[in-house]
Amino acid sequence: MSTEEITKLEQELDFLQTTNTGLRRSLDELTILQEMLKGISEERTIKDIISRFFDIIKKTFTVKGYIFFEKAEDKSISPVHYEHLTEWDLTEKYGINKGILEWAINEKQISNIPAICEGEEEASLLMIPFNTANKDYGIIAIGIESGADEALTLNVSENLKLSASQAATAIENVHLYKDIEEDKANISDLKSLMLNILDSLVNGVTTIDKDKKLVHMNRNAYIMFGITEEEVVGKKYSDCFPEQLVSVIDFILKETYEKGFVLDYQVNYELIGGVNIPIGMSTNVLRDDDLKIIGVTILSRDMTASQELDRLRKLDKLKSDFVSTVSHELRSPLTTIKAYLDTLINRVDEDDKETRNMFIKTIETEANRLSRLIEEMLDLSRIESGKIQLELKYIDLTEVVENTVNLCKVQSETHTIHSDIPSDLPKVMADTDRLTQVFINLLNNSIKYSPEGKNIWVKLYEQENSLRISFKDEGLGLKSEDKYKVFEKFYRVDSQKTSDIGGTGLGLPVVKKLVEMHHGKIIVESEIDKGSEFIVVLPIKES
Amino acid sequence: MAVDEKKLKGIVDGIVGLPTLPTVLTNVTKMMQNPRVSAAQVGTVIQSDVSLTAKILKLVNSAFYGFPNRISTVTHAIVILGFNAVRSTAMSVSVFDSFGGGGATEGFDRMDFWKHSIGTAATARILAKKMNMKELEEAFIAGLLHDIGLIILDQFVHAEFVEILKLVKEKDMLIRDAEREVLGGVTHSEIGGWLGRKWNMAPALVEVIENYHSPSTASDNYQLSCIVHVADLLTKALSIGNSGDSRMPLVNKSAWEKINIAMPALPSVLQEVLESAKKSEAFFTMVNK
Repeated sequence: MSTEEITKLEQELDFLQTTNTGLRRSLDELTILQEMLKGISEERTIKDIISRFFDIIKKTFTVKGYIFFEKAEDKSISPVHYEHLTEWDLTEKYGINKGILEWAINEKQISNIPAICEGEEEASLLMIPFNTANKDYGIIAIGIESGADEALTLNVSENLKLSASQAATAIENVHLYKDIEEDKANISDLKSLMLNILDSLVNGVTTIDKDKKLVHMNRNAYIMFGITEEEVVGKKYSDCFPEQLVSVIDFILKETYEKGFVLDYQVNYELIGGVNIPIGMSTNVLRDDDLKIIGVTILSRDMTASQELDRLRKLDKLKSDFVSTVSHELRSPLTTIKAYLDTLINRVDEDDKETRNMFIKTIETEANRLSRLIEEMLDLSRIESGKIQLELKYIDLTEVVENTVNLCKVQSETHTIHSDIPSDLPKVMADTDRLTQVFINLLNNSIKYSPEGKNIWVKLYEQENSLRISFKDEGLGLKSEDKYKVFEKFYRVDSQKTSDIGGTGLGLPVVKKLVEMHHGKIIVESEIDKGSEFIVVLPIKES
Repeated sequence: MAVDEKKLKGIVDGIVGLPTLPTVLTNVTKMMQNPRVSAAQVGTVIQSDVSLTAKILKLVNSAFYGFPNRISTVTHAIVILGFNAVRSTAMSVSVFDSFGGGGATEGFDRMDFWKHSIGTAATARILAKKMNMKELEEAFIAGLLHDIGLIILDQFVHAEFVEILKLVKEKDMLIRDAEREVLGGVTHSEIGGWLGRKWNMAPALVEVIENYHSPSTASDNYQLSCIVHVADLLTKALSIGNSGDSRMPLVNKSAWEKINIAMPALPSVLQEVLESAKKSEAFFTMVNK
C-alpha cells in the first residue's frame, strides 16, 4: 500500500470518526430535547408555550431575548410576546423587517440571520416559524450570542425544526381548545336563548317523547298544568301530572299518533289553585332530521281570551238583532195606526159612527201597545244601565198582591182567579211600585196565555226564608227548551196558538231584572198544553 | 414489472464517458452525514469552487427563493435557506453542467426537456410544502431528476432513442411503452435509477426516479413518489416544457388522493405552479451555457 493510499485511508477514518462522534452527541441532544418538549404540549396559553420554547433554546444558545409575532386571520403579523428584544433591535441589529419575517413564515423556513452592526459579529437572530399542516401561527425571532456561521449546524437546524413543530402543534391545540370552549359557550348561549324564547311564549309548550317521557316544558306549560314539581323533564308524564291531565294527554297523544295532529282540543282544566281555565290543546308530531317521529309537541292555549272574544261577538250580534227587532216591533203598531188613520180620514163616512168608533178603538189599542212597548224598552234599558233606583221599604206583600189581583180581575171576566193570600206573613224590603209592576205583568201573562174559562191561582206563601208569590194557570204551557228563553228580550214562543196573542217580548225580561234587583229569583214550572207556574221568590231579610 | 437486469446491464455497459459529479458536491454530501457540521464548514468547501459558488449565489438570490434581502455568501445562503436548499442548488448546477448542452434530436428538444424538469421540480416543492413535508429540497431534486434517464438515452444510447421517438410519433405511443419495445423491457426510469446509484444519490431519490410513473411500487418513499408523479402530470397538463410524450399518461388514483388537492382548490394550485415555473427561470438560464 502506497503512502498516498494510507494517507487517504487515514483521512477517511478520521472523517468517519468525526461523523460517528457527531452522530452520537446528536442522539444524546435529541434525547434531552425530547424530554424538554414533552412539557410543551401541556401548556394552555400561547404565551406559556412560547416561553417554554424559549427555555429550550436557552439550553443550546446563550440568548438575548425574543419576540413572538402572531399571524392573524388577515395574514398580517404583529408582535404579541416579548422578552428583552424589541422590533427596533430587529431592524437595527439584524436588518430584519416584516417582509423577511413574512417570507420565513410563508416558506416555513428556519433561518439564522447574522447581525449587521459592527462589534456584533458573534451575534445572530434565529427566525423560527410555527406552522402545522393546517395553519401558520406565527414566528419567533430569538437573539443569540453566536455567529450565524457556526450556530446553525445541521443538527441544531433539525432539532429546531422538531421543536418548532411540537410548539406549533401545542399552539394549534390551544386554538382548538379555545374554539371548542367558544363553541360550547355559543351552544350554551343558544340553548338558553331558545329556552328563554320558549318561556316567553304566552302559550304552554310541552314535548313528550315516544316513551311518554317529558322532554321539555316551558314556563307557561308548568303554570297552565299547575305543575309545582321542579324537575319533571325525563320523567313519564303519568308519574308527575295530575290524574285528570294524564287522561287528557293520553287521549290527545293517541289522536296525534293516529292523525298526525290535534287542533284546539278543549279542556276545562282545574289548576292546583282551583281556578278553572279553559285550555285549548293543539299538537303536532315532532320529527328528527331524518324525519323520523320522535315524539309529540303540545301547544296549550288559554282560551279565556278567545272565549271572551266569542262572547263579545255574540253580544254584538245580539245588539244588532235587538236594533232590528226593536225597529220591527215599533214599526208594526205604527203601520197599523197609520193604515187605520188613513182609512178613517179618507174612506169612512163621517156619519158612520159605528165604523169610526171601531177604527178609533183599534188605533187606541195599537197606540197603547206602542206606548207600552216604549215604556218597557225604556224600563229595560234603565234597569240595564243601572239608572233605576229602587225605593226600598218594609212592606206587606199581602196588600200588593191583593191589589194586583183586583186590578187584573177587571181585565178578564172570563177567567176564574183563585187567590190564597194570607195576611200574617213577614214583611220584605221592597219597592211597592216595581213589585206591583212585576205581579201585574205575570198575572196578565197567565190570563193572556190561558183559554177563556180556565182557572188561575195566585198564592202567597213563606218557604225557606223567602216569600213566594205563585201565578199558576191552565194555559198553553211552555216547552222545556222555552222555559227560560222567555226571559230573553223579544223572545216570543213561536207557535200558532200564540201568534194571535199580542206581546212585546219585553215583559218577562223586565220582570226578571226587577226581581233580581230585589235579590230574588223566578222559578218556572211548566208543561206544554197543561199550564205554567211562575213563582217569584223574594228573600226575607233579618231586620 | 420485473426489470430485466441483464438487458439493463447490456445497455449501461455500452455507456462510455458518463460525466461524474463535481468533487465539491460529493464532499458536501459526505460532510452533511455529520449532524454537527456547521454552515461555515460547508460554505468553505463550496466556496472553493468559484464557478459553482457564483451560480449558487445567483440561484439563491433569484425569485425562486424570494428572500427579500441580498444573500452574499454561500454560508449565509446556508443559514438563511438551509443546508438542503444550498445542496439542491449545487446539485442542480452540477446536473446542468453535465447534461445541459447537447444537440437537438428530432422529437426531443433538450431545452423543452429541462423546462419540464425544472417545472416538475418547482411543482414538487410546492406540493411538498402544501403537505407540510420537511424535505422540500429533496422534492425539488427528485422533480428535477425524475426523467434524467431520457438524457442518458439521448446522449449515450442515441440510435435506440431515435427509434423510440419514431415509435412514439408513428404509433402515438407513450414514450415508456416505446422504450420497452425497443430496449426489451427497460425504460428511462431504470436508466435514471442506475445513474442515481452511480452518482451516490440518496436512496430516496433513486427510488423516486425509478417509481414515480406508478408510485404504488415505491416502498419507502411512497409519499415523495406520489408528489413527483402528480407534479409531473400537472406540469405536463400546463404544457410547461416537454419530455417527449405527446399524450398525457393516466393519473394514478391513489397518488392523486394522497396529494389531496380538493377540486375547488385545483385552479389556485395550477396558478401557483405557473407562477413558480416563472420564478424558477433562473435555473433554466443555467442550462444553456
